[in-house]
Amino acid sequence: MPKKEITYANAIKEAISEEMIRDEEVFMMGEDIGIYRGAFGVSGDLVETFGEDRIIDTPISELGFVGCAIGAAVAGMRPIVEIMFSDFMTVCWDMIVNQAPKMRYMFGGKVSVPMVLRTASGGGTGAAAQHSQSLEAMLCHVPGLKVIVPSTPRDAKGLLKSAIRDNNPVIFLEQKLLYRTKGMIEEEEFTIPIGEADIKREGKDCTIITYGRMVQMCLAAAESLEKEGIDVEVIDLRTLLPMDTEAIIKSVIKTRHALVVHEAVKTGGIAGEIIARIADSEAFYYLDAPLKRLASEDVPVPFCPVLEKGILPDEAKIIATVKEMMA
Amino acid sequence: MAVEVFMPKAGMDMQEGTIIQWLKNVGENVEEGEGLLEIETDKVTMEVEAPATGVLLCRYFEDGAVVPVVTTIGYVGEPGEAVPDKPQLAGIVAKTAPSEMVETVEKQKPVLADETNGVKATPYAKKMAVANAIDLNEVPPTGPAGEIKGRDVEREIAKSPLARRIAEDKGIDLSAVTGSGHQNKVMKSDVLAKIAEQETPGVTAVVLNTTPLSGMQKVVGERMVKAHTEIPCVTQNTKVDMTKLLAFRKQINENRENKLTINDFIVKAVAKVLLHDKKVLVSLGDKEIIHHQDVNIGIAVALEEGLIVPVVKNADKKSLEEISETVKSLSAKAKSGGLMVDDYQGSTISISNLGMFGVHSFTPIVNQPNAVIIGICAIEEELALVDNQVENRKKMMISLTYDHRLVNGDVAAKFSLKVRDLLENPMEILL
Repeated sequence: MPKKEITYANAIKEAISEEMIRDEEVFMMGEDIGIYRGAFGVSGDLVETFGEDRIIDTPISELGFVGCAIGAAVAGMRPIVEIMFSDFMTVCWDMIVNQAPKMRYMFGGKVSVPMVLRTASGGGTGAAAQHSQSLEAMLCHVPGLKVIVPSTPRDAKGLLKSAIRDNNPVIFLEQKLLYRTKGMIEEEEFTIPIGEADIKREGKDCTIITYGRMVQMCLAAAESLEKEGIDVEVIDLRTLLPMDTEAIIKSVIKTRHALVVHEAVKTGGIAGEIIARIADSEAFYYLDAPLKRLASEDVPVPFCPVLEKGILPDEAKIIATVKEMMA
Repeated sequence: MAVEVFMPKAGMDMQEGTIIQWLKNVGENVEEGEGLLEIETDKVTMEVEAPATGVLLCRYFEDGAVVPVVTTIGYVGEPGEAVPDKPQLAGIVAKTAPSEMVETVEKQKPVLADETNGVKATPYAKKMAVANAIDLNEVPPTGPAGEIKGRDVEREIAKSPLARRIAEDKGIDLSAVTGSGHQNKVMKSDVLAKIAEQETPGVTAVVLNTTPLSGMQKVVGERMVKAHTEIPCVTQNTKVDMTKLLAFRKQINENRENKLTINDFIVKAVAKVLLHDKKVLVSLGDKEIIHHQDVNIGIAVALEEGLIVPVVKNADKKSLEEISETVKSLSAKAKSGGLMVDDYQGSTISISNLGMFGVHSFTPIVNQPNAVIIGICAIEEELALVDNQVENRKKMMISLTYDHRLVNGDVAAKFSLKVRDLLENPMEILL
């Protein structure tokens, strides 16, 4: 199977482009995605290929254009809507929480909302407290949504294509710091099913459950730990809602140790949910150490780079936590 | 009101004491200040005096018990006075040392609480134990919080059921049996081999009897292991011609009632060298070398129950006669068990003398925190060429061991040479 190297941002653009060619109901709207080519350069020259009717620049009014996209979806189109920073989802919370995920249920299945909301999430860029958050746990608290956080170009492309084809509202949390990272993907068309975790590294001693930007960090930590005789399995959840609980439980039964790593703050984070699922399963009886989670400190993301680095999980913290569990 | 008797804290680092024997029975009259019981700390044995006049109301611990410091071990008061059922901590000490109190309380707790509250084990360990019919009470835990982990149960399972049954029947401790099976599983043959080994006469030495390790010997042992494993040590032997010193000593002792020993001369000579050369009076701190001012010479004294090193303080400021008296009094006190804490603390260098036992040379172990210990050996007759004449000379070895982290070979050797030169010109010792 021929392969090619591609960046995370371009993999997303390719997914959008392929789906727009495949289905003329697909269109995209958002702030500065046309002539400006997107705040993170994701949309690029799409406006030249598909024209301003299908790559639509919007005013700075997230509540308005997300509502507009929901309306279009209900009317039979397949909108992709881009919110520049995931932090701005909060200004259109009514659309994301009360409208999009509820309609199909409340109208007895007579309408559906096949919308994808793409947005840039996460910190590590020095963008401070209002442009660096990881708010996925809030989204996972809303039945009716699907929540995806891809960690590689391949996952980003394959999952975004599935999201666009899905008949439900999907929140697609892209990782700011991953946009320029590169990876290999197939030349041929492919999709990756929503709701399937990916074991990024097999191991027998300890399971690390993670997603998004933390995946590469956990893999690097696993390499270091291997030198110390600890064989770590790294599960990339890829989709947080619905979550692939089976993959987690299977792995924990094998390794008897589980650590959840995420960039979002600890309290109320998705790690608590994952740990609860393990504790509430057969895997409980196989645990040989307390379940652990490693997440950002419970503070707004600091602007000062030194402080920001201090509150985020990193490779050293992952290594230390695993070693503590394996003592 | 009843007054508590508690295990005293007789030294800064004393954690617990052993009750050697009670001198009074419950109900017996005691006078304030009268000896109530004898205890043994890690360094000395001492008497605990009655804190008040009255009768001994109760004893919470009996002879041989090891009790944490400041724990109440009994009460003295009026006959019939009520006392608590269980030992308590002394209130005054609890106020000044809360952390230590907590530690003491926790130490006592396991006996009372843990056995009834079940075993601390991970879910996996419990599951494995149930599946393999292992009693978790029998499994030694290795988890960081004292919990039984899966690996602990696996180790237990790795003993075949048949092997386990035979071991139980024959009273064999399976943890002492090396397994020959897959993943070191202990097999029937391993247990039988162990039984055969124990039953074969001549293979294992016949035990005459056993004696309990005294508190002092335990501490001596621990300190020896620490010094022996921590210190990169070197022993240098330097031969000294003692002929002149023996003659000199004979001359001095002729008109004296309290005869000076060879050891006295050696201690004095060492002290004199140290007066001007303090390079070997060092100790290792956390991040620094501590240079000592005081010439405090520890003198190793052998006791029946162990070894103790009383200290001749400021030996450089004492005359030969004062040194002789101090050494005599300290070793007498050591042998009668009358040494006070101050008598055996604060040495900056030590001397161990095995000369009277005919030892030719040896490798003494450094008495931490000292950097140097001087081993004194036997004086032996030797033929030597002196001015081309064969003469009978009296030679003695100095076996000096030093901590190579603190002292280098040249420094130690130069120090030995200075001691030698002084001993070979004994008049100089007194100048």
